[in-house]
Parts: sequence; C-alpha cells; structure tokens
Amino acid sequence: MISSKNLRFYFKGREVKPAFIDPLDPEYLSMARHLIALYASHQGRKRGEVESSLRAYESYKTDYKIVRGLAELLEENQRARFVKVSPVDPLVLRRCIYSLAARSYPIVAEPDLVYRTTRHGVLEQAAREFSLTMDEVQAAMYTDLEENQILVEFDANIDPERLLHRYNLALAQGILYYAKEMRFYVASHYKTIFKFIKNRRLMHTISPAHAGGYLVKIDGRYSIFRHTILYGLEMARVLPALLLCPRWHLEADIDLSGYGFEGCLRLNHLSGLKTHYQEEREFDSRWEEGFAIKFEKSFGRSKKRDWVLRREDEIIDLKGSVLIPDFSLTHKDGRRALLEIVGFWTPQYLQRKMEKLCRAERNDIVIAVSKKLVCSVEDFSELRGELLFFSGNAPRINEVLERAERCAVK
Amino acid sequence: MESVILKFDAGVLILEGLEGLELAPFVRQDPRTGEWVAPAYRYLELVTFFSRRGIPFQDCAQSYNKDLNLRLSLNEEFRPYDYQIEALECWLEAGGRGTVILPTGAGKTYVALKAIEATSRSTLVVAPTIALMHQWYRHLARAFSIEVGILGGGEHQVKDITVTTYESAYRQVCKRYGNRFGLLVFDEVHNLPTQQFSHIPEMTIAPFRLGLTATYEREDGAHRLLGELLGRVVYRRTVSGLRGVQLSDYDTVLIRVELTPEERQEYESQSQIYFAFLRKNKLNPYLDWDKFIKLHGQDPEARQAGLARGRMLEIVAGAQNKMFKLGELLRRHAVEQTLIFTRDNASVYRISREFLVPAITHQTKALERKEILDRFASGEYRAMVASDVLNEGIDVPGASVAIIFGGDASQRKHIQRLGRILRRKKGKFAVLYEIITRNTLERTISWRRRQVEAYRGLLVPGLSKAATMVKDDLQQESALLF
Repeated sequence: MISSKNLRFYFKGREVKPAFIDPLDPEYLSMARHLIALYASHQGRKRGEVESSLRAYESYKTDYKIVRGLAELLEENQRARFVKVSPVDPLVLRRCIYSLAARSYPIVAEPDLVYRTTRHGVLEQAAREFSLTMDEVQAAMYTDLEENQILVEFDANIDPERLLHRYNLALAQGILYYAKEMRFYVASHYKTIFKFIKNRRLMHTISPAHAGGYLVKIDGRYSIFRHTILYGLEMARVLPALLLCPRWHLEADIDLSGYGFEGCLRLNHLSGLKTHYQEEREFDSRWEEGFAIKFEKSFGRSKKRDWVLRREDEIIDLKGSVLIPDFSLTHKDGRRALLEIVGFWTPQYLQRKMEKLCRAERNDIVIAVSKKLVCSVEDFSELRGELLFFSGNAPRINEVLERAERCAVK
Repeated sequence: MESVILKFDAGVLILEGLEGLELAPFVRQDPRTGEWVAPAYRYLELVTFFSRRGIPFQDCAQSYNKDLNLRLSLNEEFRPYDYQIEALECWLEAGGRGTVILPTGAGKTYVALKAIEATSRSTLVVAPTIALMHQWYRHLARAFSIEVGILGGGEHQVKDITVTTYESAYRQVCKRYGNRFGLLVFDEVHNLPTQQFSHIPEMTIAPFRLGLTATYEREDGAHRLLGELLGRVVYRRTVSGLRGVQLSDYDTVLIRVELTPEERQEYESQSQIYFAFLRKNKLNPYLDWDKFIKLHGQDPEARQAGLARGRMLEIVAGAQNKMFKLGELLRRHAVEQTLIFTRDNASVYRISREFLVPAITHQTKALERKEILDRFASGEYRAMVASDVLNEGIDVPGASVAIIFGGDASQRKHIQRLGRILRRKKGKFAVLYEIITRNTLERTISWRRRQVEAYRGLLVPGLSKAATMVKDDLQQESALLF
C-alpha cells in the first residue's frame, strides 16, 4: 500500500476521486520499467543509495509522488528485502567507541598540548579490540541505520503494467484509510469477501438486493458510538476482494477534514481497477467438488432437469458472523433449498459449523455429513433442516434431492 | 438470579443476561449483532451501577493486574515540593481521576510515579513523542525496578507497566489492549482531545486516569471533552508561583562562520534558482509556503526551486567551518556537559563520527537511548548530539552548554532546546550557542526562531558576558531587519 503522504486525489463536489494513471500510458510504463530496473541494479547496495538514485530519477518531475508511490509498492510484501549487514554488532562497537572517546574527551583531529587523543587513535584502538581494520570500524559503526541497510534481494519478476494497476488500486485503498463506513454491492465471491471482513475484525450489516446479490455495509466495533476513521485501514484491505467479482459497486464515507473535505468515494467494476489478490480455489473441499462434478454429469446437459445447482449464492446473516452454505438447489417451480456438506475437518471446525447451523434456524437446508466424521444423529439433534449421512467422496444426488424435495420452500 | 456477564471486545463492553433488568442509561443494543453494549470507558460506572442495585455480575472484561505492589524508589536526596504532594492528594481525593496542571519543569513526572504507586494497577503511560516515551521508560524502569513494556517506535512489548505514544496507542491500544490497564497516564494531555486520539480513553476500561499538562486549554475548546473521559481538573498551579526557583541563569551566544569558496559558489548558484522563482511568482517564502509546496506537484520550475532550497540547506548544514567551530566549542567547554542539536539526521551522524560522541535520533532504540542518557547523566559521556528528538521534555539536568548546530525557524522548538540546559541545578550557569553561516538562509531562520519572549532583554545583555571568543555582528543583522 501507499503511505498517506504519497497519495494523489482530487475533489469534485462531494466526491473524492483518486488521481488514477493510465496503465497503458507509455510514459508511465517506462517509468515502471525504469524503477524495476533501478531496484534490480541496486541489489547489494545501501538503502541510502537506492534513495538517492530515486531522487536523481525524480529530478524536477512534478509527478514525483507517482515515482515514490511506485517505489513503495515495489518494496511491499518482501519484494525488496533490506537487512543489516555487519561484521560486528554496531551497538556494541558504538558503546566501545563512545566509552573510549569519553575517557579522553574531547576528541580532536590534531593532537595538541592539552588534548592528545585523536580520533584516529580511538578508532585504531577499537579496531584492535574487534580485530577489524580501520575502514571496517568506520563502516560498521552505524550499519543498523535504515539508510545503511543493504538491499539483499529484489524480486524483479513483475510486469510493469501490473505494477501500474497495483498503483491505481493502492490509490483507491489509500483514500479508504479515511473511510468511516463503506457500503458495497456484490453478487458473488461471498466467502472470500467475508473472510477478509472477518480477518480485519470489521462488522457487517447485510440486506439482499432486489436483483439478486447483496448490499453490505461494513464498519467497526466502536462505530455505533461515533463515526470514526479508526477502521479505514482495515476497510482498505477489503477492497481488493471486491474486485474479484464481475459486478460490484462501492460507496464509502470519507473524512479528509485535514483538507476541509467530507464526502464520499464511489467506485465500481467499470472503474478499471484490477486486483492483486489471488482468486481462491473454486472449492473449499473435495467433497464439494465431488458433488458438483456428479451433479454436472447427471443433470448438466439434461433438459429434463428439475433442479438447478448454484454455488454459495446465499448469505445467512448470523449477526456478527455469516453462514454461506456450499450450494443452493432451485426447483423449476421456484422452490429452493440450501445444501451444506460437512466433510472431514478438525473437531473445533465441526463445533463452530454446528453452532452456526443451529443459529441459522433454517428448515430449508440439507446438511450432508461424511460418515468419516465419527458422529451420530444425536450429535445433530438440535439442528433443524434435513440431515443426511454419506460415505465416499460426495453425497448421492438422489438422496440430496429427496431431502431437498422435503424441505425446499418458495 | 442468573448473573449478568460482562465481556470486552475491541473497545466495547458487551453485556449478556440483561433480560428483564433495568438498563444503565448508556447501554444500548447494537443493531448489527443484537448485543447489549457500552463504550469501554463506562466500565467503572457500569460496575458501580450493578453493585448499587445488587445485581450479581461476572466480570470477564477486566484483565489487568490489580495489585502490582509497587514500591517507588527515588534518589535519596530527592525531596518533593509541597505542591507535588498536594497535587497527588487532590487527584486521589477525586477518585484517582482528573488532570493536574503544573508548569513545565515543575516535576509532573513525580506526581505520575506516585499515582502509579498509589493505585498499583497495570498502567499505560501515553506520551506525545517517541523521545518522551523513551524518557518515561527510563524513569519508570528506575523508579520501580520493574520491566517496562514499550509500544511504539518499532517496539511492541506490552507489560504491566507500558509506555507508548498517542499515535501508537491510537493504532494499537484501542483495538487490542483496552482492558489490559487499570491506570492511564496522559503526558501533555492537551494532545488528547482530537477526533482520533480521544479514542484512547474512550476504548479503554481503566477506572483510574491521570492527565498532566502545563497548557490545558486548547484554542478549539476541545479540552472540554476531557472532563467526561478523564475527570475534571483536580489541581492547577501557575508559572508565576514557581518562577525563579526552577530555572538556571543563562547566556546566549551567536557565532557566525563563512562558507568556503567552493561551498559559497554552489550555494549561490542554487540560491539564484530559488530566489528567481520566488521573485517571478511574487511568493514570500514564509507567508506563501503552503502555496509553494502545492506548486511542486504542478510546476516543474517550482519543483526545481524547492530542490534548490533543499540543496542550500544541505550545504549550510554541512559547512566545513561550522564543524571546525563546533570542535573549538567542545574544547572550550571540555569540562562541561554539552548538548549538540542539529536540523537533520545526516548532521547528527556526521558529528557523531567526527567527534566520536553518542548520537540520538528517531532511529535510536529505547535501550541504547536509555544507556546513552544514563551515561550522560552520570557524567561518563560529556557530549551528546541529537536532532529534534531531544527537544521536548527530556531531562538532562547536568547539561549546561547547548550548541545549536542547525535548526529551523520554529520558536517553540528553540525554547524547548533552550529549556534542556535550564533545568535547575545549584550554582549552574548555562550557555546556549548558535553556529550559523553568514549570508545564507540560516540568518533569517535563526532570527525568526529567536523572536521569542525568553530572549527579549536577555539576548543583548547576556552577550557581553560569555562572548569572549565571539565577534558578533548583531548590529549588522538588526540593520538588515528593521
């Protein structure tokens, strides 16, 4: 991400707009290529040298903030690794030098009648104590300073265009640092999105949208007591997950009172943003995958099919957390049931899952439990919905549909 | 009767089992979760509320140590002033809540240490800067012989007594450690009532709270918020009652040096670029500074002028003759404790390498900083070089000489720097030197920072006393300015 000081944005009425750059603009592409090459060529050199090369490259450019933003992104996620390289612990060496020097303070360049101890003499003595040369002593004295750390590794394997896309996204994220609350519409990738919301300890309010999908509002624990930008950084981390969806839009309340601005940020799938988050594996477990394949084989092409299978298309709001069942089954007459497949997991996972299923209080759900999980009907006595045990890779389709027939509702 | 369960999550108290019970007025239902909640700072009121009504409750919220059994050990010669003892008594009488207002240098730290001893709860001390945070770390470690935690400046250990900055507390404590402390101490508490920082007392449950400051009232009136979050002002003492006792006598001396011909040549060429731009655009470097900065992003010439100014400051900071003069001063005051201040970190390290004196910047970690300051205090180290980090509130009572090797135009910083050598010590006479380059930006910068109350009437008479080696052209400068 980019630090606040390197953000670029402008105001248009009540809206704040990130100053996006065109990722296909040859000028910026060449800037990106230059910076990647700059870092690559500075491996083994000090941070201070990287900085001065960057400053030299910026020269009189008025878009120096872009250069600095891109540099920050080239250093993120350990892409550029700076470490202290030193023959001795600089702290111990410094203590020794300061103490030696203090004994014959003040240290002078040329000895005179009063002050006989020279800088050279002290450093020589320190060099002897640490078995180093004079040059090494002088170099090692402050190896722990940021500017003296060495760029030991840089992963130059990044496409310039991707870097520019990352830059645009980082600008939008940067504005979200100042967000008090964020509202968005999504119609897919619920599990991924809510995983981020949960990991960042954000809180949600969900309502179904008319045309399918959901409107989600997120803010933080304390937000009900007062509006605050305390959770802006966390909200910024959710944005890349929204971008996985083919259709989405977002509106965030932004408090940039330092600029005398309060208003909103609006973005959607047409804003040209691209995510750097990885698309998750399509299925959480092989049981789900197995079932989807089976279903496809039996009904996929059949025109006679009564039921349509969809993945993770409903969010059950448990207030404070969510349950997103693995599948939904929709009958052509409009009835609908949910399907959750519980395969083999840790006991804690199973317990959490059971709690969630209980709290969901839904009758229209088929819960398919693997027989490999050593449990019995009694363990599920508190559950509503239809229970089904299966062996092998996936529950049998007929059995699932039979249960669905029983519990589906319009 | 089932008891109410009190839980804590990220700055919020959550109450379970309230059905059918009378609600405290500040408890409300969170529409997002259906839970009954209250902001963390209501903890004390909530617990009192339940106790008064005889409602049984189980407290799963509080997770701080309630009996640290601390014993304060201070230097044997130390005798607290009456007002320090009064201040503490007033705070305790107010239930261990509220703000104590004492002038700078009057010994607020002692009041805080006694408050920590008296409450013996896990304590968080919040300071405005990393340097001050490190200073609290030193004081606490010494006073209580206990391991002190640090949160901020790249360090992250939370212990029963922890020091932090407003910034780090806002980022970390609010969300993660709000139930970990029973006493909060806010140093320079006038920093607290902002949109962001007020989250710190709001999202913590600590029943005991102490604010310390010399300047309570804020121009924006936001200090009124402090009453609810911290308690009222419990003690106030003004500067007039203390003047004379606290500060040493001092002199100030201005030393001017020439740039070398090479330095001068480069300086002039950069200077032309810079001033030509200002003239062309009719900009005043002081009044139109924000406008000038804004132009950097639009006008390549403005950017070039800004970079030229940066280079001018670099030349001035690195001037060879300043280094030479600094060496002379260190010799002249070889038996005294000397503090050297610079404008930038690069100069700090250049001086440290040249004279082999310890350096402190924002990059110096707590342990090394403590070691350097301790050794300086004991007299083992006689000089120390720092940039802005030592300006504010750092106690170095032994120091009687300060050398301003470089600085900016801020009067506040200048007073703070001067304040470092004015800490009271018997028979102490302090000298503040400024080394500046002739006919450069530094002249105006130095003049601007010296236009402060403390200087009026002090600068000129003081000069004659200590300025034996200094040929000052004060008149020349005055002529330039008026």
